[in-house]
Amino acid sequence: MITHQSDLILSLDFTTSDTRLMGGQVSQSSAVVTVVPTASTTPLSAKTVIRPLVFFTILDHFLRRNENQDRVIGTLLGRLSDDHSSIEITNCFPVPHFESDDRVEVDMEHHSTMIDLYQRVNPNEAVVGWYATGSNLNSYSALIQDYYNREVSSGQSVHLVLDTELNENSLGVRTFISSPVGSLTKPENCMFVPVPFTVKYNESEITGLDVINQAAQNEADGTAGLVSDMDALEAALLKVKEMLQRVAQYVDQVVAGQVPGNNVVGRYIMDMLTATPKLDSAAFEQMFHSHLQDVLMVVYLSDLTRTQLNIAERLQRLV
Amino acid sequence: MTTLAATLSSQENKSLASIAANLDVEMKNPITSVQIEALVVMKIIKHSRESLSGTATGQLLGMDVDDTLNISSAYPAPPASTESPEEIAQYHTDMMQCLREVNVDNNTVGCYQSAHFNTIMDAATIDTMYNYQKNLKKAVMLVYDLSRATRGQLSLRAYRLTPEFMEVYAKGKFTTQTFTLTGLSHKNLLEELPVVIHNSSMLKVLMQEFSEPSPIVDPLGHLESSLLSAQSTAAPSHLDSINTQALELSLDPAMEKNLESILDGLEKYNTHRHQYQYWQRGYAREQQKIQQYVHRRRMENAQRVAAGQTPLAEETEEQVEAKFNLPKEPSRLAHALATGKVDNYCKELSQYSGPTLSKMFAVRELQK
Repeated sequence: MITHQSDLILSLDFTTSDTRLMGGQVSQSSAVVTVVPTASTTPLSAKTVIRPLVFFTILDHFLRRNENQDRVIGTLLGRLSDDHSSIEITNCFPVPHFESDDRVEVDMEHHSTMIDLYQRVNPNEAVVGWYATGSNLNSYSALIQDYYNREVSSGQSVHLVLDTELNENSLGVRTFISSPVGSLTKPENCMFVPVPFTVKYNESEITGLDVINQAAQNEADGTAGLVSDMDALEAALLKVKEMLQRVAQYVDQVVAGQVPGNNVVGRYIMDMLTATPKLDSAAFEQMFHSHLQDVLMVVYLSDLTRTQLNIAERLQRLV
Repeated sequence: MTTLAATLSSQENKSLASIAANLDVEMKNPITSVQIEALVVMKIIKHSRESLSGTATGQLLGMDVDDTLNISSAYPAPPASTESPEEIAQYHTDMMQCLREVNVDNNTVGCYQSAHFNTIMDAATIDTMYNYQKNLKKAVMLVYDLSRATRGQLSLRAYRLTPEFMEVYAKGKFTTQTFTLTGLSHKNLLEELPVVIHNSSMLKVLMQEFSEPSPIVDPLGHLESSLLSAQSTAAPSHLDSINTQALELSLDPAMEKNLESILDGLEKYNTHRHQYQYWQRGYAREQQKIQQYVHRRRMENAQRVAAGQTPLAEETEEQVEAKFNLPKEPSRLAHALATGKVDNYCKELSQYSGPTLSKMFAVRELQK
């Protein structure tokens, strides 16, 4: 069923009966929640971790799609966690493809060129699967999945679906892995098994997302400027204050007997209170003052240096 | 597949038409601000994080509309240490071709770089910027500050070389004379452009989704939501968490590092200063010799005329100077860059000290 046309384009043709078969399976599989163990040699990865950049790239790709094209696909890059328990998706790139009623073409030359290029920048990223936009899996998904299964080193590719039509008023992100179905293993026969995913951020990404979130909340034009050191500190302090107030209010309510106390919350609050180091006030004062002097000294010296530089600059003008 | 024309939906076409009307084909208007898509921000953060050892560099793609430069996409460049310039050039060509196939703006508008303490004052970077700006009049360089990122703050700044400096750089003469005549100093080598970050409407949806409670909650998340359900206030989310890095209390490491950079910078500055002084002394000495020579020659001529002999041929200034080896002036650019670097470090330090002091006083109040 799969023919390689001049090694460039993976062309997939199939008959209507297959389509119907697939359609049935797809709707079936969406009901399957438990992970179906497969006979494959590698342990089944049952979890995916997605970096926010992946969503950003997919959405950008979707906005730049061709006319009359209602869904886009692309390759997911990432790595398998050391214990093979989860797959981390760190990056992705678009792959042009073409769908019609009876065939789907994926530009495999583009795919392999991009992999080469990406690996030169980050050799740790390997192909882990593919993404598509749209509200549901369709009949071509199995065929593309079959191709990616062979591309992925572990033999288990992840399929990420993002609903850009916003049915159910959400992006409806879902991830799947596939398992073969039927006694005869045919590429177009497979079952998509939903797997749980988490979105993971690291510190620097959070700072970026913070600003982007501000931009998202700006209704007028969706833009935001950058904040200064002081503003960032102020915002963080205000947030801490708000959180403290929330906790204080909760504690007050528990004490007053309005709300039943939660042991877990209580233990957390205890931990937090004991975490504050108890220092002798005189010793603290001394520490505080010496530190303050250090900082002020450094600031003074750096300002002095700048002034000297400026004087030197001006003197040179006179020469 | 290659026949796929880069057509866009009719709605986007319309907006493109209005953009095209505003397009400044002759590149006359200078750009005054930079607008970055959120995608670019995330890409730069990722790339910079992954190559913490070296500096991360890459290309920016987009287009300019009126006086704003829209940066809509970016891609990382392979590290220059491992690949030859030819390979990198080929990489850029291949990448651009691939991106064109998926309708990304394939219009280079500059480059990005990660740096510590926002310092891009070195000869290599300036050269890169010059080359970009020579070929693309509106090119900018985005600088992502790694040291600020570790303090929980996003710092992306857009820089351009000033037109005056472009002229001087094109001539390649960095003497005191040119610097004084054009009024260049470390302060006006670069100009900074204001940066805004822009989200597409799809991204707004995504961010909205991020702000909602996640379906899979960790124990802490459970705790928070139970705490909040009791309160029936705003829902917790990934983004609702406070910027803990901004509250970091171990302030010394960052300051130490900054001070070390200042010392390094000052050392370099002093080397340049010594070179300059050495040159000045040498130059003055030679100049004196020239004057003596000219004076002697004039006297000789006067004597010859008095004795009725034909005077020696007049010599031009260049001819005289050619007889002596006047030392070459060291590049004032290197000096200006060193100055700029130290200046920048000092500025960073004093900027950093503001929050530092406030945090210290906050801790003091806490202890009371």
